[in-house]
Amino acid sequence: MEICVCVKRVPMVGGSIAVTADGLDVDVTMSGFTVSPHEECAVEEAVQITERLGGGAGGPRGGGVTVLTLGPPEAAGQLRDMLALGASRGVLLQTDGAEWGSVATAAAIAAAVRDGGYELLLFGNEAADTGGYQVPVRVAHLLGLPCLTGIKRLEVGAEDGGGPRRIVAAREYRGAEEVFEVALPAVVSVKEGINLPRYPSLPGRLRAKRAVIETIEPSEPSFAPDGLRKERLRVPAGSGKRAQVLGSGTDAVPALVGLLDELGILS
Amino acid sequence: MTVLGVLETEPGGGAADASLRALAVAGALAASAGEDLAAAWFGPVGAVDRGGLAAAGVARGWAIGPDELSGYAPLAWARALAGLASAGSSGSAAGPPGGGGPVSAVVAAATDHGNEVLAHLGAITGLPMAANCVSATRTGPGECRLVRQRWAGSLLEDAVLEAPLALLTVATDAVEAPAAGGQDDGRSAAAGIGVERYEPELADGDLLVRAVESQQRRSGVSLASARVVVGGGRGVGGPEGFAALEELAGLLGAAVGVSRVVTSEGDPAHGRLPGRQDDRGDQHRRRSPDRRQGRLRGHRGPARGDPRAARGPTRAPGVTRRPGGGRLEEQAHHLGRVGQCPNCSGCVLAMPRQS
Repeated sequence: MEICVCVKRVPMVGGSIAVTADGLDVDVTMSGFTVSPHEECAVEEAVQITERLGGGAGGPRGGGVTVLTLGPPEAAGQLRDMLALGASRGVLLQTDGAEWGSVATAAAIAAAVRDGGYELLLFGNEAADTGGYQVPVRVAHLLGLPCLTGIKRLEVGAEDGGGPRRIVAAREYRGAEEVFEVALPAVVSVKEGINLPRYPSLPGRLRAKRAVIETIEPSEPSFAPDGLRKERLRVPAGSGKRAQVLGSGTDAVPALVGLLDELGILS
Repeated sequence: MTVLGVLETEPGGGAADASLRALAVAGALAASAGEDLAAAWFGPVGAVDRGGLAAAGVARGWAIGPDELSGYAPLAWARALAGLASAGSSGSAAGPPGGGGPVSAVVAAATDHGNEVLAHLGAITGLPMAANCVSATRTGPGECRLVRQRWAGSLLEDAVLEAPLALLTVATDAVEAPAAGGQDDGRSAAAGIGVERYEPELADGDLLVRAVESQQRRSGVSLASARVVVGGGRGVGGPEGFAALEELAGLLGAAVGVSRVVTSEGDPAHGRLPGRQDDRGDQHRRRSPDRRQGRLRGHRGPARGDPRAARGPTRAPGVTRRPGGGRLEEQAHHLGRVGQCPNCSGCVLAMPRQS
């Protein structure tokens, strides 16, 4: 079974995020890069599926997990991180590092995977940095595939007499579980919590270090404006507030009750 | 021109709180351009309190059918909204049935449904979509100035959206619900609201993805919709420490949320993480309780450089209230700073939203 997982290189930030002097980007002077936790879970899910179903069956490349990203040459590092987790192939849609909008990103990804023979395209539910929530859906439209988003449980059925596999996917929504069932191929975006990503093994790291990252030019060779133009980033007001220690143990109870009442929680 | 707010409805009837908050942003956008505010929902005409909508400034509404659309079907919902938004625009420019003129913006809550449906709408129309907005102002024909959340609310982005039809979702924990008018005002306004049935033309493929089953949670309050969240982290000390938090949550009608450390160590009963990457939803990460307890009592989390080391701060026990003000993860972050101090382990902490 061929699965492609799309990931995005994002700064590795802590609790507070610094912005560059021009206000256009996150200051990464003191930080590294990673992929979104949602996407890390997507890679883990893909690896688990191929482990369960035997990834060697079918597919133009004999089955397995391809990890794809659109980003600068340095994004190959994030692809290697994902290869260390068990993915078998890394593809870099190389850009000059400019921030692509969702429409252009989806177009480039769709063009890259269109003839890949993938039964399943996995994404994180949203990118950690931009929080756009739309690239998987746009890719699905461009490829004419069904799309499921926000998935927290995914079951891939066995091949059924030459017919397409079916998947059953579920997510939590407003206290209920929504269940979807569609035939593959399909696009699915998952949320962190669908699984517990493994730590990379030493053999996995060594294999990833030696792996050849396939680098290709996106079909759209340059940044294409989407109509949504970033003017500046800023830290929200009030981010410097500090917590108030009300006390310890039962001594804190009167102050806590008073505060809960003040907040209107007791009413 | 008309700004169209898309409402999600509660199972028992009425508009969801998140939708009413999104409607406040939609109303501000409409007011900035002197446009009408309208609302649309999927289901029967009576699924939403028309008086409440009138009090929120809604001039007219559309109840979208047929019955097949009552169940969640994201592509079909988006197709219906596309039809509603484009009705009349190429001919008489009269807009959707009921008047008000062509639709200039579609605004929904940034929930799983809202984001998904508007993403489909963006793909159908080929237009950009801006997610997690906290404010929107019309600055010219086809141009809006936005403030939207990035990095799960840790940053704000000032942006300009240029599109003939603005597609926006609203970060609903960052905005207040519209102030309801007095009961009399609501009733009188309700009398003037026209609600029409709108039945879109759908293709078979539009219903290919639909929720085939929806199981209600057995009990308890969902973290995603809880008005109050009682949070616990490493400072709780171990699984047994959550009993007090559960009891407090039960008394307050609240949900229990936990830090990433607790979540990552996989206690199914306490696997719900408010904040950063979970877009205010629930998380369930599973690992053996023994490992979780060990992590709580000594280990500091993933090694530096490991991708999982970037998953945000540790949070100490605290009480946060939502909605009504600041961001939950922001508050949790500051609680976390205190929680990492050994002297504070077990302290009762609180961060009022507006203090």
